[in-house]
Amino acid sequence: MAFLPSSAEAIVGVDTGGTFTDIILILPSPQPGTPSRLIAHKVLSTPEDPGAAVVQGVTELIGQISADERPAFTVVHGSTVATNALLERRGARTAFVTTAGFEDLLRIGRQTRRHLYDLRPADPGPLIDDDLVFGVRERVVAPGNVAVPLSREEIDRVAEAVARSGARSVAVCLLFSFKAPQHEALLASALAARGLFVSASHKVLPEYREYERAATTVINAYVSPLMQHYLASLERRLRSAGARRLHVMQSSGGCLAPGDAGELGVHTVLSGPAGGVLGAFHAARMAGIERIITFDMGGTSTDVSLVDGRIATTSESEIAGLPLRVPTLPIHTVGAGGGSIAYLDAGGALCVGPRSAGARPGPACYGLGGNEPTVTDAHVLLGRLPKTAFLGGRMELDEVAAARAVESLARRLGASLEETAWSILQVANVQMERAIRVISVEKGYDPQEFTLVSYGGAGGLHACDLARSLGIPRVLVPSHPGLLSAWGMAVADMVKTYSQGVIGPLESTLAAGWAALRELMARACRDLGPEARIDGVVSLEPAIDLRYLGQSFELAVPLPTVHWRTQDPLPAPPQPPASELTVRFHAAHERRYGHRADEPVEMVAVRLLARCRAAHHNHNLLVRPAEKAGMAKPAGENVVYVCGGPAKVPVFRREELPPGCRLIGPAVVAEAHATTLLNPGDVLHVDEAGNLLITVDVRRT
Amino acid sequence: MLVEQARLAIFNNLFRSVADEMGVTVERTAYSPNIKERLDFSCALFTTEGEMVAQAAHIPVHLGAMPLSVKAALDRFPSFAPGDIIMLNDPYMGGTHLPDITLITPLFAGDELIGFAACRAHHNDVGGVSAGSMPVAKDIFQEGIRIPPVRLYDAGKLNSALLDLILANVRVPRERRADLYAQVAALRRAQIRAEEIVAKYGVAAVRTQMRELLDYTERLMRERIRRIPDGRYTFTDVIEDDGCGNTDLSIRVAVEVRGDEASVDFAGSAPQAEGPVNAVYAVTLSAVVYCFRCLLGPETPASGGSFRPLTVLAPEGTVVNASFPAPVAAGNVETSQRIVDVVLGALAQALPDEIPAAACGTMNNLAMGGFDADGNAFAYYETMGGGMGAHAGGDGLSAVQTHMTNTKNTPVEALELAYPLRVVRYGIRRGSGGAGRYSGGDGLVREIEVLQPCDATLLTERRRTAPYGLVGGSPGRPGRNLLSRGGGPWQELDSKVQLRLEPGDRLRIETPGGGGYGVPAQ
Repeated sequence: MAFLPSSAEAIVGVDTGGTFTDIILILPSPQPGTPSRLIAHKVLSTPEDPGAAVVQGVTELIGQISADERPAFTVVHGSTVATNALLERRGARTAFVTTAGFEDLLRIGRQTRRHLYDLRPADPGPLIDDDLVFGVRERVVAPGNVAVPLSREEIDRVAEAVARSGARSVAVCLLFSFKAPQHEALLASALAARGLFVSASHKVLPEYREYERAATTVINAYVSPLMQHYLASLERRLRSAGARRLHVMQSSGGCLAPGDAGELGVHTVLSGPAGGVLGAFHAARMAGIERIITFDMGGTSTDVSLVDGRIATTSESEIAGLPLRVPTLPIHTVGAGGGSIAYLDAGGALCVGPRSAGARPGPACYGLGGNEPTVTDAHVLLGRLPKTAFLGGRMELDEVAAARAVESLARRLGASLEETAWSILQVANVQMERAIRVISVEKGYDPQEFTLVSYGGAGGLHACDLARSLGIPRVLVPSHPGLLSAWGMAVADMVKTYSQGVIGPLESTLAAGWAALRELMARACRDLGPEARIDGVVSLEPAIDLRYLGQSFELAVPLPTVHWRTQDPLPAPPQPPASELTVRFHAAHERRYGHRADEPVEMVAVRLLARCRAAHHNHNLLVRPAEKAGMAKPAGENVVYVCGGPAKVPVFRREELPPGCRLIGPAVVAEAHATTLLNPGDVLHVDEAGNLLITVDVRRT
Repeated sequence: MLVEQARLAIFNNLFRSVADEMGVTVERTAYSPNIKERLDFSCALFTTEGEMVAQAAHIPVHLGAMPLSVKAALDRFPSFAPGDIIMLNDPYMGGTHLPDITLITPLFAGDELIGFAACRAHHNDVGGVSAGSMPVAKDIFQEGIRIPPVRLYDAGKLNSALLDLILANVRVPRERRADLYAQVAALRRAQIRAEEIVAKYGVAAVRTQMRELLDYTERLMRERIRRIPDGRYTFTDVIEDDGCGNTDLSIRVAVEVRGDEASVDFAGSAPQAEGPVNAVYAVTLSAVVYCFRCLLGPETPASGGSFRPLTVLAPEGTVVNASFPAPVAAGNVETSQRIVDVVLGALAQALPDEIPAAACGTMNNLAMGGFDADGNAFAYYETMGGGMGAHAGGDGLSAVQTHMTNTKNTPVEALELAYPLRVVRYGIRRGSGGAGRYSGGDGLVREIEVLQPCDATLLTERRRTAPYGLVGGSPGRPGRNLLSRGGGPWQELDSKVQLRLEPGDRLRIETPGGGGYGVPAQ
């Protein structure tokens, strides 16, 4: 097909949050080399019809541009429709069809209990009731051959029973369908012919381990009909608001056309925090930084993630107690945030969280009726959070209420208010430090080689402390930290992922693996070719899952990326010899697990991530005229507790820090929705893009 | 600036993270499905005296027993060097049953000993008369190779002669070697973390905080015991048979609560048995500690301080404190469950609203082994869940691992890809939970067809006796072990049995339901 570059389009990122829907518009640069323009907007979310806020926000934002300058635009949307449907159990009425004898597959799961020492666990109940589960007489066995054939009568019997059950959606997962999908395919078409929304496991996740595959397929069946409905209506409304097209954010950090997202809703259920990670990575790359640990500290919890030069995904996550085996950004969450409540337990240990004051009433210092001591209250008492800094001065923090909340705890500890507040912060820090260790050290990465990118309201008050205790030499606080998530969506590539289980000894299975990969690449080119409007290129990133023979965890060994131009013939996969793959697997294993084994290597699956650019984003988005500024002038001075003692610390307004300026900690940098605290010896530099780049004095502890 | 109470939380997090990182290392690097997929292992940190400071949330049956392994190493060796790794599995010298191999390393800061790290994992096979090393044995020699505390690494140097000797005595040496290396990797991880923590906080602080943490969990446990009404509570239940024709071996307990201490006395329990249902003291201790641990909140650190207010008395030479050379394979996996049943049964009299009815009361152990079509040896081991007991707040969970274990199942597809076996059915055994105001959870049914000749061992319980109900609830339905030879009729097997199976034979395991709670509504 011929490639015609489209005229420069604008892109709109929309992030639906619990309270606000954030919208960001990136206008294409008028000529090459000049910066793009960025306009942001915020509207209240409308949980009963999330699309209403999206349409309203986009309309208002576009309305800010004069009619003759108004560009064509694409909307990229991060939706929580699928996530909420699952968490609140409001999905489609879904049936489950599986091999007879295994009807209880989903209820048994892995036969483990969630809490080891809970004698009275509550039963959350199954996602699918027993009367919506159907067994099929058929059986495929390990080598992929049929042991019990699937008869026409059986297909009809099951399809009829499902149709009569009142289910609207159906998940089909038969044993060994990842190897031999023919039985599943026959059932799927019979069910689809009866008007049901069908998710077949060999399409959703053609990989081995029946429970994980079934659960992922069922999640898809459960959320996709709602997603389809929501997106169809949203797309229609946005088109009438002038949008050219709609893209949907996925958990993998790539976006997807609404048709695909409606078929494969399971790919969106963990998309919420993906925008932030993507935005953080984008901001860091603009500052020339490729290896980052993201740190998003909110009111009730903190999300952390690691990006090592490229957005990588994991297939091991879970939601609502079910395993989810689709590509997801590896984000780790701990229940410690600004609103986390501090208390003394029965044994006399000072604990922080997971109970949180949330947004309402919020920390005591909000003055909204909260009376328990929180992390934010501790910051206020220690002068770390300037009273007037909050929400750009629109809300003054109530120091007296914060003191009152911490006081009762201080009395029980026999300590001063300041000691108590300081201790609360240290306990919160150690929990967040542990979270960062989980995503870095436990995965074989040394945090000292990374930059900590902090966003979210409370993060800047902890980032430099955490960096110091983990030996992370640098902290980046991006400009517009509150909009990072919407921004990340606006710059996201279109991404589709594919996989196919191919199990066997590497040498003898490799040919089958290449054939499967060639097939996946052809599908990806067909799927994404028409979407490659920006530069006519689809990037194909293949990988092969390998493990030592008999092990049950596999490692994805990446193969070279293939850049396919849409006018070229379909590409062939790169085919390095088995010997080379083996060497690379040993190295990957050693890096991740610290050792290599002298064992034969086995192939488990081939994977493919295909991407194409979705927007004309310019990497110099926010460049301002560079000023050769020297040391910045503070707006005031506070007594602030840093490194365990009080000190007179200058307070700066972020908007008064010009690019190029430097300052040396201790210092407080306040902005509308966030505050950053530098410890003594830390050096802050404002870069061209307005990012705060802090060199942390890691030798001091 | 930092208050002591915060230091406690900080070091609790630090020590826990070391244990967790050890656990992740094992999970990722181990080889056999039993360890990697089913997570049948534990990691923990100890003081120089051998008290447990932190344990990763793994297998409860390892909880109280791990400190005794460290004690055994301390007894055996007068001193340690950096890089030493002690290995043991002998139930009569720090172990529990032979498949559980424990590796222990001293943690050093410079040349100063600051504590120990240990990792215990259940190895699929450690030799003995049958594949899977869970035979219906008459003495410990039939159960496999015994490893007293020995140095596998001497100051960082592998004793390869020792390793070769051990590997020559097991059925799948390739797997054992890799699993042992995974345990070694976990211990190395612990050493690295210990050095980091000491570099940051100093040796003195680390030592102090280990002690503080132990005192802290002791306070928590004392506080909890104080809220149990004082009194003497007794309960008796039985191990239904030992696989050698001896039936109804009673386990008797008297739990005596006085203020903030409790003594748990098993006087009057049956003498040690001829078959492998004997528990060594470490197992009994684990089961008791588990019961009391459950009374604390889920966030409470698993540290040895909580053992201090408990006295566990078990007369020597009984089924709850076996003496050499009694066979013990099922003591760990079956008798431990019954010990929990009697201790909870006693506590239920004091805390009727908090204690559930009996859970399925068995781990339903199945071990199979032989040679696949290509002549390669295989060893498959699995435990199966059952019903959980109902309680004052609701029904028991169905088809889950209960009390002393929480291992995952082997996925059907993983099992069939790895072994010459075919799963015919895997489902919930409906109606097996005891009736009551709240019903006990249902058990499981797992039916397996054999594709190559192999040996099989079943070590199960509650086939004749039933998990008890509470407060008027009915007992759960006992389990059944069934065999069909070449498509013939089902015949019922004993609870503990060793079999030779031929292609086409089918084994069907039906696991018990949990007991019901309260009188059923009319």
